[in-house]
Amino acid sequence: MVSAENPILYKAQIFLFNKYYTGLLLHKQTDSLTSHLVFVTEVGMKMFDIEIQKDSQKMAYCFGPMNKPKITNLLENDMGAILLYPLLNKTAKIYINKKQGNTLYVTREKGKKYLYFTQANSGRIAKSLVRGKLFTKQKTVYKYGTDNLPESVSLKHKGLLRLRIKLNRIITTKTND
Amino acid sequence: MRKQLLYILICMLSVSIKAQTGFKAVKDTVSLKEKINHISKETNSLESDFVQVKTLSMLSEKITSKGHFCFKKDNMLRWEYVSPYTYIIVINKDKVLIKDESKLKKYDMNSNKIFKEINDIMISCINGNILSSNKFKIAYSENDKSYRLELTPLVKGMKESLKKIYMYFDKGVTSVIKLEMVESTDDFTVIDFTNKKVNGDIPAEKFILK
Repeated sequence: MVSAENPILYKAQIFLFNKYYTGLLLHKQTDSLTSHLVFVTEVGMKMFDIEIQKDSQKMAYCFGPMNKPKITNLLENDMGAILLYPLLNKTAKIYINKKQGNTLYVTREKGKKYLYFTQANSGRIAKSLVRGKLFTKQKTVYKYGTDNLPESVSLKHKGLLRLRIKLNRIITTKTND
Repeated sequence: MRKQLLYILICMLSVSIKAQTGFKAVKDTVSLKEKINHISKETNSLESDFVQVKTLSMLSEKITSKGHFCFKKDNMLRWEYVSPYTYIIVINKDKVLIKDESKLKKYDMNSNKIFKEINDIMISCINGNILSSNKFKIAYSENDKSYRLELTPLVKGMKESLKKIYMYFDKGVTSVIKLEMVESTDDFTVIDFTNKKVNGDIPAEKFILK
């Protein structure tokens, strides 16, 4: 559970077009309806800050050279996708695979089909796919450790807007003074 | 990535203390500049541990990183993070090398205008020319423990994201002790330098990454 007291920190690698960024991605709840995803480089420079609410994601800050509508939209949507926001508050078709013990949730929106596969015998999402009319646009894979928060997340966005995100969770002691 | 390097290199030679108060304008700035120029000229190598704390003001959150840096004249720098994970940046004359886990990336300084500018800033910090740089407006102040240089970026591209850089020198002006960079969003990064070793022997291998 993400909260103000328990923010989550990931080591992040972001491949955006032909650029490669690394740093730390922090997810923190700021109030009951809002959380923030902040990406900071190793040397301490904030690259972006996405404010996430129940039904929307918006770029609260984006570092100058990256601050272009196509890039900010891509980051907002894909970061929201990592947090499974397209699945929240939606009605999904549910398919249960009794043999494998997992479940598939399917939603549709704006001509796209969203598929969410759970792990076997678990409610945790293991993989999500976003399919357009012709091909898969986005694939996200989640791996877990001992709790319900992913140890690692890998997202690949195909097409003209190429984006790859790799996240690896960092377990830290509280850093606030 | 290149912008990050710019930050690093500025950081390397700077200092900060957010909490320090009671600073007043330095009366004899000529003398202080001379002292800073003197240590710049006398410093052939420098290494130090560092603790970097990034404060995200709006989130009331701090992210702490730790590491070690080495510098050797004329133009060699190693900035190594060891916590929360290993990440190394090396500048070796006209080459920039970055090692992230097992990935090694190389950049040619001269083929890239931004790297060239980074390099120029670094060198100007070392030889003291930063004090007469037209890229920053500099104000000098002091309290009973330290001198503070307040650098305000004047260059387009830098001033949009960086509001101020504060460099702190100990009162004896032997070295930079802390750095603070304040961003336009009022987030700030503080780097404390400890266990400094001036003019020690640093092997050349430190500035080679494979």
